[in-house]
Amino acid sequence: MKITYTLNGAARTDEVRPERRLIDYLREDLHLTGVKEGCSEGECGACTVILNGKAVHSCLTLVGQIDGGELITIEGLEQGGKLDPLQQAFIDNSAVQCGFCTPGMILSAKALLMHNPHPTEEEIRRAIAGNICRCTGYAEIRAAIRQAAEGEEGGT
Amino acid sequence: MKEFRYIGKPMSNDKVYGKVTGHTVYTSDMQSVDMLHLKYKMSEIGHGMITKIDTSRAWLPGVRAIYTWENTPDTYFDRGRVSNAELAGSMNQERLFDREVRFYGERVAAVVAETAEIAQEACQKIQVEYQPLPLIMTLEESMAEDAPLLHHNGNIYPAPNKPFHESCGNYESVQSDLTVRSETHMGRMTHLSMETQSVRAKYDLGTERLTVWSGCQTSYGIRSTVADYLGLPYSRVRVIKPPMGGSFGVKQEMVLEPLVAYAAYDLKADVICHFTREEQTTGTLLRHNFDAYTETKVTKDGIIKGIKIRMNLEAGAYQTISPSYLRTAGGKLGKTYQCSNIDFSGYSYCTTTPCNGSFRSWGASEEAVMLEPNVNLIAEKLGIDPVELRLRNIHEAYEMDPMHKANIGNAHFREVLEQGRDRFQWEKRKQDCEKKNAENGRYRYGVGVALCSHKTSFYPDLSEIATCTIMLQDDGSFLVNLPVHDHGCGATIAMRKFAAEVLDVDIRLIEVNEADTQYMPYDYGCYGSRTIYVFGRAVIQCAQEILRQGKEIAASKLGVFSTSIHYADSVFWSEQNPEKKCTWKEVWEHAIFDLQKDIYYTCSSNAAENPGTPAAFFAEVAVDTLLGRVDILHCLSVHDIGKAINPDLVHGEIGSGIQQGIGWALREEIKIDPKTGKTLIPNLQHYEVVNAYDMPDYDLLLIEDPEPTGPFGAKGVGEVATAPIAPALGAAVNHALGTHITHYPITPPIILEAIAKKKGGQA
Ligand code: FES
Ligand code: FES
Repeated sequence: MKITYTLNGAARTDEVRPERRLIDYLREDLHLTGVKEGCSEGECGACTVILNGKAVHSCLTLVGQIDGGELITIEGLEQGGKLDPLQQAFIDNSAVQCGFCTPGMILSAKALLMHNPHPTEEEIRRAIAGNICRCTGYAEIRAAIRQAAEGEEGGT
Repeated sequence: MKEFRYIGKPMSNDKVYGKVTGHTVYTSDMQSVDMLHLKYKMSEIGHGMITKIDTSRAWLPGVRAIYTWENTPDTYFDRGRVSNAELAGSMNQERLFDREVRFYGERVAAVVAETAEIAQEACQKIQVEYQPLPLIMTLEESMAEDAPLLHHNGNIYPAPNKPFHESCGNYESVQSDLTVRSETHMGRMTHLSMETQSVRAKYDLGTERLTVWSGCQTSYGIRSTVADYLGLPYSRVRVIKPPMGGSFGVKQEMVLEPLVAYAAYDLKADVICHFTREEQTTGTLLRHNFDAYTETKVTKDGIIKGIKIRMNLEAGAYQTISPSYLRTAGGKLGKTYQCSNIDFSGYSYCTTTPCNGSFRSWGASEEAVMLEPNVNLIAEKLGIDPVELRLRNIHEAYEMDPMHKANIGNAHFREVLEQGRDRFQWEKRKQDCEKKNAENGRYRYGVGVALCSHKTSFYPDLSEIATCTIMLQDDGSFLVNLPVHDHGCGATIAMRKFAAEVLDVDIRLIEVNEADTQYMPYDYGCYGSRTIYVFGRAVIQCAQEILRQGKEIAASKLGVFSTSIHYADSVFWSEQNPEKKCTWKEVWEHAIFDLQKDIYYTCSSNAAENPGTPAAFFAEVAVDTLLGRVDILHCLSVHDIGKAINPDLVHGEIGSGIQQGIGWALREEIKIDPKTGKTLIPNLQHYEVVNAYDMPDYDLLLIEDPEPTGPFGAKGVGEVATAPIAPALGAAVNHALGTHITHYPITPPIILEAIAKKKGGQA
């Protein structure tokens, strides 16, 4: 099957087996290994990508489903040598330890802020509840998301 | 005191750019054009003999090799060793494949193929027939005289009816007013490192070398095991430690390395294996389940005179590191309290269940959850406040740990307890809980505290050596090579800070290389909370010598006595003539071109100390008596850390200790079906890990009084962060309900059962 979609802002066409898992297509065919696999069943959030503005598990998504869509992976967040405010906030708040959960965590937060630039604490907790981090108690991660959201409010 | 340039400054993590942009390459991310993939077939029986393996249908196009017990060496290896000198002490029970299957999910065959999908499909096509053998699921079954022997050296460590025993003083002869008895039952849990086990091995025919990449904790242990297994000289096996996605102990042991290395060597190929979550849960190791009986002898003033503990630790199908884990749990009993009559004994026993093994804190959590509930019980029986009771029994700084025979150094149990009590508002919270409980409502409230300690080095059990090399580069930057294994929690950034602080240079000029056995000196591995303390000392010692060399060469360049050289921020100058100055770059040029001498230094440091790391956890909970759920309303971790090198990262690390501790105490359990030996809940779907929604806010108090022997005063914290959590939460639940629950994790059914029992008058 031929698919046409936007990958990190650039139009792309590929010949794919539509039933292939999106995570395998991204990691193995496109070498976008920022997409991590932690559970393969939609429970850990490490494989999160943003499809049409929504955070989805690429381990449960089939490649066919991205046809005509807009896909963002962690590799696409840095623009023109400038980190996304969320990425910068994760650094500033020391929210990264082993870093294996980080791409998925940032993308879940990104999807939240795309729709809800001023989330409440409760909304932040909910948005990343599906992203497991074993190296922290989530406090720095939540602070980072808060900082990125407040930064946007300030117009940076 | 001099203001530090980097020590104690929040700087985020090393290599953090790669982690937030997805460019960091973990072992599981490695790809190459001719890479082969290894998958293995898991047994579908808990105990039995393989009578037939039919691989004929599994030779799909793209399959390159199929391994079973029939075509692999009949050679044992030890997944837990750190050097070949350890061979004598190990139980040595494991082979790549065995005809006897000892647990449900054990590897019975492996397929190497061009893609992981092909390998997986081929595994499914392998037919295995078994002759079933009886399951062994309990200590009694394992110890029984007619028990089937799982291993050539038996089922029980040390031996049936001859427990391991370690003691100090004389427990039996202690006179006391009161004997207090308690029990602890602990379930299994999974480490849940977010990156599952991943190992890549490549045999290069051009160089005739085997390279292994593993996000591990002991590169040299892997090298010794793999090279011995394959009969290769150690110098031709190279182990590299890439970034790892979490360990918590699960990557301390060589679960996959021997198999993947064997395949790579056999096929002269590049082979990778990346576990699925299900394979990770069953096929690596779990945190030990155990049963313990604790007895203390106490005066009526609450002075603990004697401690006796009996521990039965389930090892699972293979002993692996469990004997050592058992010994370590007992060995930690003298770290917190002054009591000098301690009697510990126990067994590590094999059953037909998945292996249990290394977990963050290696016995310190177990020690705490065996001893602390008893200490709380003493407080209850004597009507003494639990904090006050502990204050009467704790070690003061520089006392001896009677079990370990090591001085505890500048350790502050008193401050940890007193400052924690104030910060937590212990008295007020305790009274408020009791007031609220008087209303007899659906929710019951309670507070709990637990205290513990841990170690900072291997002293006096092993010579505590760490080696570091620093090399000045032609542009004035520095390479620091040391066999460190960063788990993600800030070891390499700490090493960079140490070097930059001593050398007084911009930290961007310091690059730390992690463990690579081909180019670095030997090291045991990064565990036992020794990394910061032991490696930090080596880096500081090494950097001091580099600075000395730099001054000497600068003096030669400037034509002045080295005693008159001053140095700050990368610039050397002469005291007499401040106009005369030079930089590290010029020092390098003078050294190479004029003096024919490179500037580098390698040194080993030896730590003949092992300071203690006091830690306390305070918690307030609300227990829903209808549903049996526990809500943590407030909690506080207090740590005597000496000096926080990375205060920002320490906050997260302690948070993760709390998160895992909550799991161990209240939620996470891997159960094994007693009828089949099958692992129930091998995936995440029903596994109750604490997520961002459930995680309570936590408060943190660091007591920073520098440990004189520590690098800039630092001590370890990574492991002890999780050790006091479970007993404190257990105490809070029991305080809330007026119960004596001893069964962890304290899940809703356990709570409801305890409430029912209490109503029935049996509490
Ligand atoms: S790998 Fe997709 S949610 Fe875990
Ligand atoms: S940083 Fe390791 S899992 Fe989140």
